[in-house]
Amino acid sequence: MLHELTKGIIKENPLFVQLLGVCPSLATSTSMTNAIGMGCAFTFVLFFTNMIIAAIRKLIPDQIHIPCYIVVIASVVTVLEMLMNAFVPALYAALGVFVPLIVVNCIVLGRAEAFACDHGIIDSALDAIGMGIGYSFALCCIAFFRELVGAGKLFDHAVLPASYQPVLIFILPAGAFLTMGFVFAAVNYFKERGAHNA
Amino acid sequence: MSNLFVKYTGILAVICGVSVGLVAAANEGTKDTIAKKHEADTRAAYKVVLPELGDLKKLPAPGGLITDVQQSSKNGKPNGYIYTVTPSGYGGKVTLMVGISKDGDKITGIKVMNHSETPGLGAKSTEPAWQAQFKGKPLKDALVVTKQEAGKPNEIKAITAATITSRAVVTGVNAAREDYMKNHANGKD
Amino acid sequence: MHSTFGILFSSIFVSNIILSRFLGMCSFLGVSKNFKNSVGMSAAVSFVMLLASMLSYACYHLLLVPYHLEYLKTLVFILAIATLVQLVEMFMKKAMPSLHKAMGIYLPLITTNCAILGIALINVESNYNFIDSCVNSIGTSIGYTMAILLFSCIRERLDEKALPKCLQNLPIALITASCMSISMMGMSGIH
Repeated sequence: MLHELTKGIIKENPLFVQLLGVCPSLATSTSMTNAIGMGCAFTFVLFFTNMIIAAIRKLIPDQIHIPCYIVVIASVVTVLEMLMNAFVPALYAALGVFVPLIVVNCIVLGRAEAFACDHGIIDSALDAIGMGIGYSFALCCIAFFRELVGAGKLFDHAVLPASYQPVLIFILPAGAFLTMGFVFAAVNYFKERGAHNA
Repeated sequence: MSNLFVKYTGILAVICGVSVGLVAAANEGTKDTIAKKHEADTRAAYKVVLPELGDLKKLPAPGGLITDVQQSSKNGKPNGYIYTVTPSGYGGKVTLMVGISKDGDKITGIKVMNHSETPGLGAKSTEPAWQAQFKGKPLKDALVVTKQEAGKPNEIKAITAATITSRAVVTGVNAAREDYMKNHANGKD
Repeated sequence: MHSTFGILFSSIFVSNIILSRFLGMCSFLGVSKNFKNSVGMSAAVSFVMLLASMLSYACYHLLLVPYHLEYLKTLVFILAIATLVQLVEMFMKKAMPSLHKAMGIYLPLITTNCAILGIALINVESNYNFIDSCVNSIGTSIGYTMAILLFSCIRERLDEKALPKCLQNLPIALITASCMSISMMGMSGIH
């Protein structure tokens, strides 16, 4: 049971290992605050869609499962949009179009397809939390470097001395690709070394 | 075949119906909070650009860069105006509010609400430290941007490496100034 | 940038959908490994994007706004896009089998391509009218095609180079994308 929870964090990490959900991870990793906000929003959606789909999986005929999943996901995302707009408007504005775009995030539909459609509610919930944490962790890895190097800050607080000249490019789009490229290279490097030692 | 078709359509319709119902319920639940928060935010922004905020009345916007004009009155007498202007910056439109006090015809403050300028450069226009320059500027002459330290009363020091953004903000402020001088200054209302 | 031309220019270069808005990355990284697939994918995306933004414009202004149901836009748009893709696929199979053969396998992937839904939402958010929405989606698809074709040529060459093992494939692709993104930045500020 615990395995369902932990597998998403490292072994099947949605971003680093499965290479899913690349778009929002580039756009929302400009600061740690945004990354954690996006991670939470994403986990919320995944948690509810996984549970709902696991609960109604036996009622849905195989031929029309995709449209049904899309409707469920889109509704959960719309509810999330309203909640965010009402209670954390600043974060909602910062994440912008990427909140509604969770609908077409490959991970959400992917988990519904690959896991929730043939597992129980509790297993699916644990799977969702694990994947959510894994994704948030991956976002934070990227955001940490981008915010630290690109603005000299973490969580919007200056952590580097004032004499540090921020390397602006890291919080611009180009820096997103660059950081992500190097983080992936590092992940590959460690994977390879791990495989070598084993 | 047709039986299956009816069944599938039915299931899909039920799922859609339930989802839309839930979303509508969530909308009812959060609508007021969102509206209230939005109103409070706008009011707070007005208060920043025009500290002596009174009762507000919306005036017809003259068009051009100006998208919204609010007239503030205390004891039935207009004491200031808040303009919302949208000049074009480096990355797109910049939306900002300009507060003007009738007392002495001067700017009481500006606030950049929305922009798509480069982070770390043009985005510095949102920092209070830069916006503070506008506070108390007289409206007699149009404002100009300078790259040196501002000397004359109508000069604004540009943000380093973001002259286009600085110019855009000043253009917006000048549009508000022009409309104010034409329609509201010298006891015209 | 209020003119229609401004919208066109900015959607192709300045806010290029892939290199500065980060939409459609999955398909971008997935199919850009070879040039032929990139051509098929970008044709399919361009075609669906224009139809989808027209359809979503109609849904939003004829259906949602009159009944004050704007909050359902995400739900309605994604369903409209999914249905549209299905219909296009069926139509193409019957009427233009040769085109279906070339584009067919990419069509089902498009429903979950965030570029399509993203542009539909951005059109609504920016308050574009019908013409501007169409221009924006045409510009965006030109930008998408340009980026993905250039990128696939670079990647085909990169495959032949001896790179450190950990950089092969995706990491070097992302670093290349970063360089392309820098060149797009040079376009901003042009009015």
